[in-house]
Amino acid sequence: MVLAQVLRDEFSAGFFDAAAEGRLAVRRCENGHFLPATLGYMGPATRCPDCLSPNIDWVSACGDATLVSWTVTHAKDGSSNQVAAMVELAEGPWMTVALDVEPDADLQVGDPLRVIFVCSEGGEYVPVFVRS
Amino acid sequence: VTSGPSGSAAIVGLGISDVGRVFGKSAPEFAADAVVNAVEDAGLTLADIDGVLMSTGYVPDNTLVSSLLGLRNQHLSAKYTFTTPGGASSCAAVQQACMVIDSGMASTIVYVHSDCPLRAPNVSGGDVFRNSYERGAGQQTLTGFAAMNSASGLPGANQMYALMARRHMETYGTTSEQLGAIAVAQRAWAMMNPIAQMRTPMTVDDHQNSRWIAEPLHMLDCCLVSNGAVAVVITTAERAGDLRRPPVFVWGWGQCHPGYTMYRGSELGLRSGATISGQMALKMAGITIDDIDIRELYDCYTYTVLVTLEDYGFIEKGEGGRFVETGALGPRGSLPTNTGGGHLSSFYLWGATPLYESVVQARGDGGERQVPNHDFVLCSGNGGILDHHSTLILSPNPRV
Repeated sequence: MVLAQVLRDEFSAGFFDAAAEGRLAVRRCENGHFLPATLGYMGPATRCPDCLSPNIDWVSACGDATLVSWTVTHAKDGSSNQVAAMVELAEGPWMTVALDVEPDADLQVGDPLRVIFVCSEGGEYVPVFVRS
Repeated sequence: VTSGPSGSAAIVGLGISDVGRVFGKSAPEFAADAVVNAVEDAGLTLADIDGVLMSTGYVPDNTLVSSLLGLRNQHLSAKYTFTTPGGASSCAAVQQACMVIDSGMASTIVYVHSDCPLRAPNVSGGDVFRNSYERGAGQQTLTGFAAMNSASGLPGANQMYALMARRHMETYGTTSEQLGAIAVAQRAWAMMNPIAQMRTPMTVDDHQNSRWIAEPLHMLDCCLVSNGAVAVVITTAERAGDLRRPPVFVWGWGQCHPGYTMYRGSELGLRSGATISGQMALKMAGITIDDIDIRELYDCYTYTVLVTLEDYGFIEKGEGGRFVETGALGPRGSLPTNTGGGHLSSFYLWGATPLYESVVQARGDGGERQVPNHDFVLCSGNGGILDHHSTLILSPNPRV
């Protein structure tokens, strides 16, 4: 599977360092709450919404997830399509990711998934999920 | 005699520029056209305006409109942004105008929304809006998670709303054909709207055969992309009666910004802010959902109409798909909805599209598409990925 170039920024550095080592990093605050890495398109989550702690680290997730929702995207000329999904990590946070499955795969909410890592074109290793 | 802000202000002027695939003007220039038309419609002059509220869609700024029109000594000048509250801005701006007028800070306010995302005839909507949320939130160069989302197949609203629609479908059994019924109903309305961009007949088969954008969304599930502007003039209920056109009184309003957590148990995609926003608006207006005659609902996608209808309580949660298949939303249906064709078939000026048609219908100016009963019109706005919701309840009748 081919993924367009993804370059890190300061916030995501720890995440992509882990990805290069084959580990999925997830955000956890000092009080043990897991949280999603970003606030959607608004940017990084830098305070725990449960306890408001600003002390949050990247820790290793187990790499298991379940399927919440998915879409098959289509290029205008019909030349390519991609399966993208919202997944729920075993630790609780949701992530938006690519799925490495056939576009016509029979997917169901709750399908068990596990992470693999794919090197984006000239960029970082990126987590992608496959059926487990 | 009114009590509190409900009914204390009214929309007295409505203006629109050329809209659709129209070129040769900037966002503030379209805005100026709409403001001039709205002020003239009200029978006022620009010298009567003492406050201005603005919003844009994709184009980041239109605040030049005040200078273009030579507005002087305004008591209020503010602009709503792409991301906050985005498509919920138009209802929110009318609400703010009502509150400012009720406070006495200003007496006659113009609100204008304009946009000019199509810079040339050969620019597609997809080109314009790719990664637009991130750019709208200030991330000009995509790096980190924004870049990962884009590379993973989620570069913008189409794909994110596809995830929302899929959740609804998998949870409640909603089908693509049912979403198609919404598009078909709105096209039937658009065929009676002279300014609609899409006025040719459409069937559910046409919907099903339109190309995929992001499954489960076909092209005919998605809004148009348009240039142009809409403006409204808002003033006190007392003054409204002396002006040229019949006033449209603002009876109630509400907002809800759900603050979804992207975490286990989230209702994202299944329930929107319309539930809380709608309850607020109805309570303020002192009416119930059954009193609403006409719905003008923010319809960036067919799915958004469905979830909004359910969340306001017009239909039981999860029953929306089966209900819309009956044709209830279309002409002669039991729940007339998006009577100008909406974003799907008329024009896409964010929250100003439903606001424009709400005023047309409340006034009884809908011509061939006018809904006979128009005592109460409910208008909604939706911004971000269901992040923001706003509601207005409008009526041609004064609140006594």
